[in-house]
Amino acid sequence: MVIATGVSKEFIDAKKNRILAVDRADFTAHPGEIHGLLGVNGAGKTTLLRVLSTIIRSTGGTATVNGFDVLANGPEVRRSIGFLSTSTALYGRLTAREMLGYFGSLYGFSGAELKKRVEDALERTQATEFANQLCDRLSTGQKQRVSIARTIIHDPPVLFMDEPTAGLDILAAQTVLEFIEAARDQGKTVVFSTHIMSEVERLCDRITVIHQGQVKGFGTLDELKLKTGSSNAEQTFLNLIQPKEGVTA
Amino acid sequence: MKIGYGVKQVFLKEIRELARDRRVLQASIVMPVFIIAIFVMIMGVIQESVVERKAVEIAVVGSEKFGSVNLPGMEYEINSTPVVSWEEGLKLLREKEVQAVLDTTYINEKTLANANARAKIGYSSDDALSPVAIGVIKQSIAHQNNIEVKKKLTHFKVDESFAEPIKIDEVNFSKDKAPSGSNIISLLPYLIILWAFYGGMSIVSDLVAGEKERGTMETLLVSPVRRAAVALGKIFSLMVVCFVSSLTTLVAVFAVAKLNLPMTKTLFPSGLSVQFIDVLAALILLISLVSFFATMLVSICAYSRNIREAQTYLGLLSFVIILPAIFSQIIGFTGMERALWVQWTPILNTAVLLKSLISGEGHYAFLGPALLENFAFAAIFLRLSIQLFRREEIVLRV
Repeated sequence: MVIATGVSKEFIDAKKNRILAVDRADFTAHPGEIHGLLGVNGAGKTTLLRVLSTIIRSTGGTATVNGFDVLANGPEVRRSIGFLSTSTALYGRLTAREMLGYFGSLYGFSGAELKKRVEDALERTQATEFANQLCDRLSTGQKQRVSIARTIIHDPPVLFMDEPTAGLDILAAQTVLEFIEAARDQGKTVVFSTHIMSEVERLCDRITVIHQGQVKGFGTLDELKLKTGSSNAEQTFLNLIQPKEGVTA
Repeated sequence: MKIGYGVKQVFLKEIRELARDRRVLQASIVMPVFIIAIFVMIMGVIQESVVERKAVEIAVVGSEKFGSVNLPGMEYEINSTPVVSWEEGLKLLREKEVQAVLDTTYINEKTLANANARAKIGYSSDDALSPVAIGVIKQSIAHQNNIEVKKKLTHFKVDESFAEPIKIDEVNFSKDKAPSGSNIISLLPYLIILWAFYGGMSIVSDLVAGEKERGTMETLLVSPVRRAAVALGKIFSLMVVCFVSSLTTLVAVFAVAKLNLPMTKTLFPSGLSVQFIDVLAALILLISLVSFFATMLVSICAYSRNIREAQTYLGLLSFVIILPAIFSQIIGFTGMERALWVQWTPILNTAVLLKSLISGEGHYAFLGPALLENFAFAAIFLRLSIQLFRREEIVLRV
């Protein structure tokens, strides 16, 4: 489970100006559900996920991941999560198998246990075929499969997916979406950030709409549609982030 | 979780990646071997040409008996060329056909008898062999003076040994098996330090700033490994590269000496021989130096936003590193090689000590200050690196 309570993140730019990237965000994501973080580019989705995955520290509020506080229990939080985005790259001079072995060892696995986990992850992501190729020589889709395998090598109960289909072709994107659905079916907590409405409609059990760092709406898609009086996801989103000048159907 | 958890994993992964990086192989092994081998051979050819030019030519106006005396202990062959006039001698001097002109026109039996014989010497100070020619001429004239004085003493029935009241006994204390190739030895510390730095510099921007730029840093930092362990793993792997680079330089010189090529014979007539204790001290010194360089390079790249920014900083830093190394080349001529300030100047003390260890002189008084400073700087930059890795900018500043 992921619980964020009043999470804020403030940056100070080169000119000493304060930039509030996330402003008192609240949301709860439950096991066995896909929780969508919906927002335009620059809304604060990535910053919020980075706070939750302990890459950066919040400047206000509290958050727990799998019961661990993100500020006090960084290593335990990181052990509980798998993090995937299009910006999380692979090591080009390692093979897919070596890459997974490396990350498995960082999670404390070794010997036969590590080998088993690597082979399982490769098999589950259908990456065994190209496991001995250098990551630099893999296609975008193959790279994404290896990234997914890296995400699940330690079988984390929580998955953070930061726009994982951005820049992918339809086949590679399909692989990612199927993986997210499978993770939900296995009872994992999935927090999935996106700005693609079709993905929200297909995947998300619950949605938090975030705009300019603030949470503008929270609930199931049907609840949000009802709340905004909208008939589709796109209209619902626009009405939530621009309530006064919202477009009517 | 243990503090050192993950250091080994990060280190081994970096070493594996570096071993597959062609740039590392080129910068750390191929280039040092290739460039040093070429460099040593060129030095050999230059040395050979200097050796070949050991004949000193003196144009003599008048008597040929002057300019025919060899200076004791010098291997120069002295040739005198008779010319008819001072002007003809000067012409040859200007054309660098001779290194000095000696006019003996006013040296004859009459002037010698009256003790007012005069010799005129013309030379060009921009010719490196002119001082040798002048020395030979003066020695020759002194010899002639001595003969004349002895003649006078004999004439007045005084023992001719009074002409030389002070006798000189010369003893050569040069080591029989001293390491030769002194020109190369004076350059070796410079090359070793240079390559220890450049070997690391060639890849560090990719190792840290590059990882940030490509997005793999974020992947790494969402693992349970502490950031200090990530920094340490990277620093250790960079130390290996710096160490291999500097060691390759040393090995290349010894290999060329061992091959005994025709063009390097004059550089290493009796090979390069160094004591085990000196080798051990040199290796410890190198470890301290590469730990200083590796921590410094990693902290600079951890501070940089991206590869380009890192390379700009590294370019500027290279001047700071090179200057003391260059200075170590000329300090030997200044007589300040063992000065206290040299002992405590970072990098310069390491270069001077390395030089003395390789040449067999072993200025061990430098070992303490050099190790202390190198490890102190390494500790400072290690702390800085870890602090920079703990900052959010390690992921965000791209």
